[in-house]
Amino acid sequence: MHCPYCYNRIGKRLWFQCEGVGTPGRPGCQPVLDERRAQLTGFNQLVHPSFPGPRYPMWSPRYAYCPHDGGRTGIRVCPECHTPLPTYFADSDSPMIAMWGATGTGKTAYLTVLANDLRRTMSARFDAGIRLVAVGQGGENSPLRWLQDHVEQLFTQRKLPTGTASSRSSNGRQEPLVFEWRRARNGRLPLGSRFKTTYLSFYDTAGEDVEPGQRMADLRYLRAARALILLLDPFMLPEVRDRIHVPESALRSTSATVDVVSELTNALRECHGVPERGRIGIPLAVAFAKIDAFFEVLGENSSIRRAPPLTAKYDEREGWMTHHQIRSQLWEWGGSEIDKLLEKNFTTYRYFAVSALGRPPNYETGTLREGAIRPHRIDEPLVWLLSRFHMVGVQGRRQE
Amino acid sequence: MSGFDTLIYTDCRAGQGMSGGAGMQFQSSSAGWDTQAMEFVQRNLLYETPPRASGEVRVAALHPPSFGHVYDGTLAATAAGVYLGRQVNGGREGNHLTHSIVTRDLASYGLVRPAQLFEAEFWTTEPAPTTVCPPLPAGWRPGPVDAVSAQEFVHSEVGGEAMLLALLSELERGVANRSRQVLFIAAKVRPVLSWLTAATLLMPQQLALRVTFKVFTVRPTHAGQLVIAIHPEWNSSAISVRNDLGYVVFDLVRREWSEVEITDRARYWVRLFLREDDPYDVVDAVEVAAGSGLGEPAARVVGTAAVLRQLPEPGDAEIVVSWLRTGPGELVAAYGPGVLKLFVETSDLWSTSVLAGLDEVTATGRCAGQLPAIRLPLLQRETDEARRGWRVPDRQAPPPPPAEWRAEHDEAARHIVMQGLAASTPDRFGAILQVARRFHVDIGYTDLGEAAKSFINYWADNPHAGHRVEQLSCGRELEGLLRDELNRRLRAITDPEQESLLGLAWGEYLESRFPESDEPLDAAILAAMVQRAPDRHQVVARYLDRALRTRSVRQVERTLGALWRYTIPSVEEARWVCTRTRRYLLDPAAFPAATRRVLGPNPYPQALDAMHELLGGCVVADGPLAELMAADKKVLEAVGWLNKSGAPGRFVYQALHHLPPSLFSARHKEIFDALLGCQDPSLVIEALQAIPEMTPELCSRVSAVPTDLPGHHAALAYGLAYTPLPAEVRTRINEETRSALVASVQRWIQRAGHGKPRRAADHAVLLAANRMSKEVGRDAGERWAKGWQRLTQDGGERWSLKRLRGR
Repeated sequence: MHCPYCYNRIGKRLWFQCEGVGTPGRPGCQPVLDERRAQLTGFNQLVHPSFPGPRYPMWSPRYAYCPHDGGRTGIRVCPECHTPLPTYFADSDSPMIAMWGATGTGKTAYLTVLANDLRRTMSARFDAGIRLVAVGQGGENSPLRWLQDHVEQLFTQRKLPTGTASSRSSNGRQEPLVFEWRRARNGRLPLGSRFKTTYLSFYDTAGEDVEPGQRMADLRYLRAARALILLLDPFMLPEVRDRIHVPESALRSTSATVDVVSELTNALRECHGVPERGRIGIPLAVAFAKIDAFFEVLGENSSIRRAPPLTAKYDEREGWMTHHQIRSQLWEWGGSEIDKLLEKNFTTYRYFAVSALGRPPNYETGTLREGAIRPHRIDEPLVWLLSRFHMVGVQGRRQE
Repeated sequence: MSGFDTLIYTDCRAGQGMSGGAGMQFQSSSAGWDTQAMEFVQRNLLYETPPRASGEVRVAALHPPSFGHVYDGTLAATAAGVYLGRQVNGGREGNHLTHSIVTRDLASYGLVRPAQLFEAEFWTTEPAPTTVCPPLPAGWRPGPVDAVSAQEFVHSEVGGEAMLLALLSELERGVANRSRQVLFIAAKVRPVLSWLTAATLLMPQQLALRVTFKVFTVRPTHAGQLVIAIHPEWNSSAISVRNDLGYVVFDLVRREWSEVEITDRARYWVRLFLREDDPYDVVDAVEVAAGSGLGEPAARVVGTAAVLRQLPEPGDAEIVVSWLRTGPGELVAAYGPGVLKLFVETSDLWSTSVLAGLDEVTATGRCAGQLPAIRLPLLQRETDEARRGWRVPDRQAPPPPPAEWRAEHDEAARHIVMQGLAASTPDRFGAILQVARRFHVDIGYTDLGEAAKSFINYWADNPHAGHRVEQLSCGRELEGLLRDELNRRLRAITDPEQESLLGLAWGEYLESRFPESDEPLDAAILAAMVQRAPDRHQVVARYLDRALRTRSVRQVERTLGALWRYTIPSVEEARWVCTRTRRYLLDPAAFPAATRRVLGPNPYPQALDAMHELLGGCVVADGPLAELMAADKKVLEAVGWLNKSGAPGRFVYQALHHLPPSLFSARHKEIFDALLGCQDPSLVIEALQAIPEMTPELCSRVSAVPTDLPGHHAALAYGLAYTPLPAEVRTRINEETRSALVASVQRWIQRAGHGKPRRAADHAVLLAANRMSKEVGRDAGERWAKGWQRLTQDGGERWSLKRLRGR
C-alpha cells in the first residue's frame, strides 16, 4: 500500500497525530512546522506533532496516546510524510489509479465528470456509500475544493477546464482525489451485515509532464499506482483527420499518440523494474476520449455508440466486444502500432471509448455548446478496473 | 550588464517555446540561464491561477498580477506574473505569463529592495519574439514605490505605524529564525508590496533580500516563502486573524493583524522613518548601522549619528567614538568627518573620555581635519581636571600630524598648560606636567621658574605622589633637581634606618646609577632594591657585573657595600659572590650588614655561615672579626666531634671553653643538639665542664620524659646522677634535679627491660667506661660500668618481684 500524498510504501503500522488537547496537568502540544511533511509534500502549515502508534502484531491500532501531552488521538497519519489518512486507509485495500494522457486529451474534464458521476449515480448503482474524502493536506486546498471548482466550471459555467499545472510548478503539487467506497459484504456465514471500506485514489497528471521528450518531473506516483487509465486523443491518430473534421483549435498536443503510449510504457518499465523479457502487470484501461466526434462516422448501430445497460456488475462480454471493436477501429485509423505496443508490453489492458461531455465543445471559445452534459460510457474503464480489484462483481466469464 | 538573467514562462504553440512542444513552458530566456534557475523559478514564482476565477466570465485585465521574490542562499529571483486569458492552443482559459529575473550575485539588486521592483518598466507581459531574450539591461529602474511613497503610504493608512511595527518585527524574526510565515489577506497586490517595501527598507539590504514573498498564492499551505498573500475572493484559505492556523496574519481588507511582539529595533527605525522629512536618510542609516559591524542597539546609534547627524545620548557617545576608532574604514571615511564635526560643534556636551577618543581618531588619521578643534578643548579640559585633582590618563596621545598641527596650535597648547600651572598648587603641578607630556606640549624647565622649586620640595616630601619622571613634561630636568634635593637630605641623615626607608620609598620611582654615581641616593636606592626585590639575585648580578667591568677593587667594594648594605647574603649568595670576585681580596666592609650582624650582640648562625663562606673566598678579615670567626670555627669542630662521639674529651673542652657570649648564644642550639646526640655520656659531661651553664637545661631534658628516653640519654642521666662529676657541673645540679635524674633512670630501667633501648644504653655506658679508662684511669672506667651493672640488676630484680607479686 502506498500513501496517496507522498507515494511512499507504508505498512499497517501507521503513525498518529496529536490533537493538542493535552491531559490534566500536561498542556497540549503546540502546532509546529513538520519538516518531514514539508519536505515530502510541500505542506508548510503548522500542525500538531506526529508520533508512532503502539505496535500490535495482528492489527492496526485505532487510537494512541501522545507521548508528550498524554492526550488520546485517533488521527492516523502516514508514517513517512505525516499527512492524515482516511480513517480506515490501512485496514483495507486502497488502490491508487493514475490518469495518463497528453496535453489537451481531456483528462481533467474526464476526471471531473467521472468523480461527479461517482458521487451522484454510481452510489445507487453499486449499493455503496461513495464519498470524496476531504482529509490529506486539509483545508480549502483539498481535493473536495478542486472537484467543486471544476464541477461548477464545467456544469454551471459551461467552460472547459484550464490546463493542469505541471507538478514542477508552484501550484502543481497535485493531490489525488480519494474516494471512500463502503458497501455491505454478505458472507456465507449468518454473521449479520458486515461492511468493507475501500479507498480509490485518482491522480490527474499534467499533460506537460508526460509529453514525449520531456523529462518527467515527478513520477513517483506511477510506482504507487495499482492501475492506470490511459486517455488517448483520437484526433491525434494518423488517419482520423482524413475521416472527420477536426478544428485546429482542438489540436493542443504535438505528440503522436504512439509516442505517448511509448512514453508511458518506458516510464512503467522503469518504475516497476519490469525485466526486458516480461510484460507490465498492472491493469491498463486505454480510453479513447472525445468519441462523440465519431458518432456520425460510426453510425447508429455501432456498439461503441450504444451504451450498455447500467447494472451492479461489470458486463464482461459487452466490454470484451467493445474492446475488439475499438481495436479494429484503431487499426482502421492507422493506430496498429499502438495496439502492437500494448499487446507486447502489457499483460492486462482493455480499450474503451468515452466522452466526458457527450458532444463536441466549442474549441475556439473553450465553452460547451447548448444542452446538457451527457457523459458517454465514462464509467466503464473504472468499473472494469474495480472488477479487477474485486470491488464490483463480474457478469459473464472473464475474457483475457 | 545588470547581472540579472531573464526567463519568461507562458503557454506556447508548438515550436514557440524552449521545449519545442505546445503548452505551458519556458518560452524564452537570456543566454545565462541554466536548469537550476528554471526549476527555481518554476517551483516558486509562477503565476497561480485560481481555479474558480479562471472560469469566471471576467476579462483578463481584472485578474490581479502576481509578484514574488525568492532566495535560497545562492540564487535570487524576482518575478512578475500576469493573467493572459485564453491559451494560445484552443479557447480554454488559464493562460498566464511569468517574467522573472534571476541572479547569483546579490549585489545586482544594489540597494533596491525586491518589493520595489513591482511595476518596474522592464517587466513584460508578452512572450518574447524568439526563445532567446536579452538579459535585464544595465540602468534598469525600480518601480514607483520608493522610500518617500512608502512613508506616505504608511502615513495614509489608519494604524499604519502600528502595523509597520508589527510587520517589521515579524520579518526580522522570520529572517533570523524562520518560525512563522506572514500571511497577507488583500484584494490588490500594490498595498501588500507597499507594506513590504516600507518594512524591508528598514532592514539592511542583505537581510531584505532574504525576505521571500509571493503575492498571490492559491495554496498558502504549500508556499514556502516567508511572506505570502492570498486574495479574499479566491477562497484560498479560511485563515483570518482570529483563526490564524499558525500564520502571522495581516488582513488588509478588515484592517487588522495578529498580535506580534514588537522588537526594540523595529520601534526605533519605524519611529525615525515616519518622522524624518527625508526617509532616504533613514534607509541609509539602516545600511550604515548594518555595515558598522556592531550589534544592536549600538549599531543603530552609529547609523543615526552618521547619517541623520543626530546627537547620541551621553551614554551612547562612547559607542560612536569606538566605531570611529575601529569601524570599517570605508564607512568611517564616508561618514566619520560629519560625525566628528557634530561632536566638535557640541564639544562642551561630551565627557573627557569621549573627547580623548575623538582626539585619537583624528590624530591617527582615521578622520583627518579636526585635530586642533578636538585637542585644544581636550587639553584645556584635562588641565582643569588635573588642577582639580582628577586622575590623568596614563596613555600617551598620538603625536599630532604636522599637516594639521601648526605652530599656532603649539603655542595655544603651551598657553593652556602654563595657565594651568600658574593657577595650581605644588601638589597638582606634577599632574599638569603629566597632561602636557601626554599631549606632547613642550614645557621647558626654565619656563617654570620659582614654581619648580616648590614642586621639587613637595615631590621630595611625597615620594608616593605618583609622579613618574618619564610621564612629566621636562621630566629629566626635574629629576635632576629632585635627586639633588634627596641627596642633600640623605647626607643630613645619620640613622641607617632612615636611609633605608628613603631608599625604599624612592627605589620605586628612581633608578640607581651605581656604580657610576657616588651619590648617597643611588646607594640607598640600590640597597633598597636588594632589600625589596623578590629576585634580588638578578639585581645583584646586574650591578656587580657593571662594577666588575670597571676592574676597580674600590668600585667592586663600593657596589657590594651598597648592594649588601641592609641585606645579609645567604650561604649560596655568598658562595656565588665569591665565585664572581675570586680575583679580588675584599674588605669585610663590602658586606656591611653581615659584618654588623656577626660582630653585633646577636649574631645568628646563617650570618656566621655566610661570613665563613666569604672569608673562605674573597674577604680578608683581621682583628675582632677574625677572632670571632676562629672561635666559631672551633665551636663547629666541637659540635662535629660530639656528633661523632669520638674525640678526646680535652679537645671538646678546649673548643668550648671561654666562648664569647654572643657566639654561645648564636650556636646554642647546635651545641645543645650535639650534646643530646652524643652517644658517649662521659664526653658530654666533659663538654659541660666547659659550658656548665647548659647543665640544668640538659638535665631537665633527659629527666623530663623518662619512659621515652633513648638509650644513650638514659646513660647520660645515669652519668649525671650516679657518677662523680667535675665541680663545675656538680654545682649546677641541685638535689632536686639529682632526685629527678635518679627517679628517671630507675623508671627507665624498669620499663626498658632487656630490649633494644637497654642495649643502646649499655653500649653508651661501655663507651663512656672505655674512654674514662683510657683518659682518666681504669678505676674511673670500672666505676662507670659496675655502677650501671648494679643499677640495672637491682632494677631488674625489683621489676621481676613486682611482676611476680602482681600475679
